[in-house]
Amino acid sequence: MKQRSTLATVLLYLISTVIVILSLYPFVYAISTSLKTGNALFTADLLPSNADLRNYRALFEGVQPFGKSLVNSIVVCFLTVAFAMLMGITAAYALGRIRFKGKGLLLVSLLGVSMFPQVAVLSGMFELIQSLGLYNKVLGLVVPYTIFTLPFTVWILTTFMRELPGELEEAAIMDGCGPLRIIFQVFMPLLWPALVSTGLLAFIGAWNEFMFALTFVVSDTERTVPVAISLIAGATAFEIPWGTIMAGSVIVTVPLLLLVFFFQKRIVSGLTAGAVKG
Amino acid sequence: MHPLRVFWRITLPLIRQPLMVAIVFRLLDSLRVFDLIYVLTSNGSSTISMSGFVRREMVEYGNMGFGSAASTSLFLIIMLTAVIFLRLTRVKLAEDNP
Repeated sequence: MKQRSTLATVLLYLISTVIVILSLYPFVYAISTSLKTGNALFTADLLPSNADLRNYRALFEGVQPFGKSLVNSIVVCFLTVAFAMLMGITAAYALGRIRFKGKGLLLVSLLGVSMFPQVAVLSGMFELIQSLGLYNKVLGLVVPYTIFTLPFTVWILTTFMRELPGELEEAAIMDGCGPLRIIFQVFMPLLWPALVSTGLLAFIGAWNEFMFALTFVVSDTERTVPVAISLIAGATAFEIPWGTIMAGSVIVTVPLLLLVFFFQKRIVSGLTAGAVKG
Repeated sequence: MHPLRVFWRITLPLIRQPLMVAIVFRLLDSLRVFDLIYVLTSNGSSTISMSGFVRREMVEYGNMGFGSAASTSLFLIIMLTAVIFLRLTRVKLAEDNP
């Protein structure tokens, strides 16, 4: 490997700095705006002169129940991830481990479904939700979210499942394990990194979803956070409360950051480290 | 050999397949965009996206038939785009190995 020249090194760091600033600046600006009130909102200072947490307090004491929306979002996302993982891992076992006719076609159509425009199922899903009695209930959103995240979840888990050593499965069968036991007690511990990363992506997808949350839920107490933030209104019709909106956006970003930091080690940790020797 | 040449001649051709899959996914994602445009332009009708149009017809105006026709058209547009793109770039989504 040739030593890099000084100029190249300087250029490399310069470009990386620009990229970091470009991607982090909007978030920094959101935090800064969320700490401003009154006329300070319309100045471009990055460090607000008299910062206070009034916007955050207003968010939770306002007319709209933002705390309730936050709880709604968390419940919906965790339920979605749980259902998607349960169905995803069982489907992935079948698609990754068992030979049957038409498997390739099934996998490709799974991928095709994930490209499907979500709005195309809006009317059908509306009927389904209504006949299940889940219209205007936040738990009803678990149904569409699980359906939208499943193709992707199954696809990723299948590719991981295929990589696992076949000897493990054979050994388990020799020891008298049924398929369910193979899935949950042999493969699942090995699939943790895959489960964590797909679960995280499913969580983020459900957390950010907007259209279905807007359409299937009407009352304020059943909203999820993306819709709640978009509906934050000022004291008068002509005022856009940027401070409160930014405070809401910052709060909504924090759980995702926490999840990623918490699971980071698991995502990168070795996949089958120590399972099969040699 | 110059590193840039290595990148253009070797690395890029090797990652061409996954790159194209990533591009087709982003392409289809942007064709069905709804939330960004809906929120940022206050649901204005001059900046409405295809998904937004379908949702407005079905949910706000209650035109179920017209909305369904629009959503079917949107589906066909997106599917055709995907098929044409995958044909032109000769990318296979999945190898049919057992």
